[in-house]
Amino acid sequence: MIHPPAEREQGWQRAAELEPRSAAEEPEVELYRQVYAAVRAAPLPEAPLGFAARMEREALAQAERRRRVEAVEGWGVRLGLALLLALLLVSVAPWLLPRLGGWSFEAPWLPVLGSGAALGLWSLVERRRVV
Amino acid sequence: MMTDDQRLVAAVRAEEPGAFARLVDRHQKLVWHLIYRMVGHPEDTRDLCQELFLRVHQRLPQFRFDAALGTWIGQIAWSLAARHLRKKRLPLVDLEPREGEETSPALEIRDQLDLEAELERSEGLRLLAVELEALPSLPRTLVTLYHVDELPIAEIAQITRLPAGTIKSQLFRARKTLRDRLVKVLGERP
Repeated sequence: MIHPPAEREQGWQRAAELEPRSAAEEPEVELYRQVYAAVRAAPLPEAPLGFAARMEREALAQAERRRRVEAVEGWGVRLGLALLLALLLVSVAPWLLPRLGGWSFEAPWLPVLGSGAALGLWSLVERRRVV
Repeated sequence: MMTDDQRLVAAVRAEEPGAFARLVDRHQKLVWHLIYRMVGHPEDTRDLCQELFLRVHQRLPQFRFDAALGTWIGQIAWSLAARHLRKKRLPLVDLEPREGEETSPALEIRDQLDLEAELERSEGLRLLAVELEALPSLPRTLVTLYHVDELPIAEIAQITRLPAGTIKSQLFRARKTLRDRLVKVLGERP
């Protein structure tokens, strides 16, 4: 196989592509063949036996842990937001409710009940969305 | 019509038993070669290969087949190994020639050199394997990907995100360095 001089001089042919163009080139080509042979024969570590199966077990276990953490984080965020909402309602309701309908505020548990109901509704909607 | 890689990825996403093991089995050789040649340490290679495949499993849902699966895994392996080298403050490439290294193209072998007689093959291979290990990370890795794993230059460019011209010149220089050292060894032999 003959290569254009420019390509040969670049020196990135593989061993199988190296052919001497003349008898004078033979020692040089033989040198490069030795180099390629050495590169291919150089020891390289291999994955230990059973590596693939072990990686599958570890990856699946990690994915399961991730799902659990995400689920807990999801509920943590929802719970935090619900508590904030309840706090807001408890703070605002005594001022807001009488102005909305002339309803005097005498039941402090009402906003808490309301926020609890809102949280329940939200959870149901979320659950339907996820499923 | 789904390709083999697409079927495999779909099976892994569906968590079919054995699917991810098949994926690892198919790509582990290239990954071990690449990472070992980059970091040059068997223990670090093992740890990084494990980290790599866990990361591949985690990111597989986002894989959109913009590149071949092997190339994408190779890119992650390259990034991980490069980050490892940065952490250890090890250079990826050493562009300066070593002291006393002959770089002149005028370096010629003796006319009457009979390689078969001069060099016992096994010893020559061993010596050059040592020289290969002594190359900087980048050329050492590129030489292995090109000559051992026989990846095309375009795919190596995708994995390493280096220009094809840079890869070719690194291959050229690495090959020449090894050739010069082989000549030196031959010249020093009685």
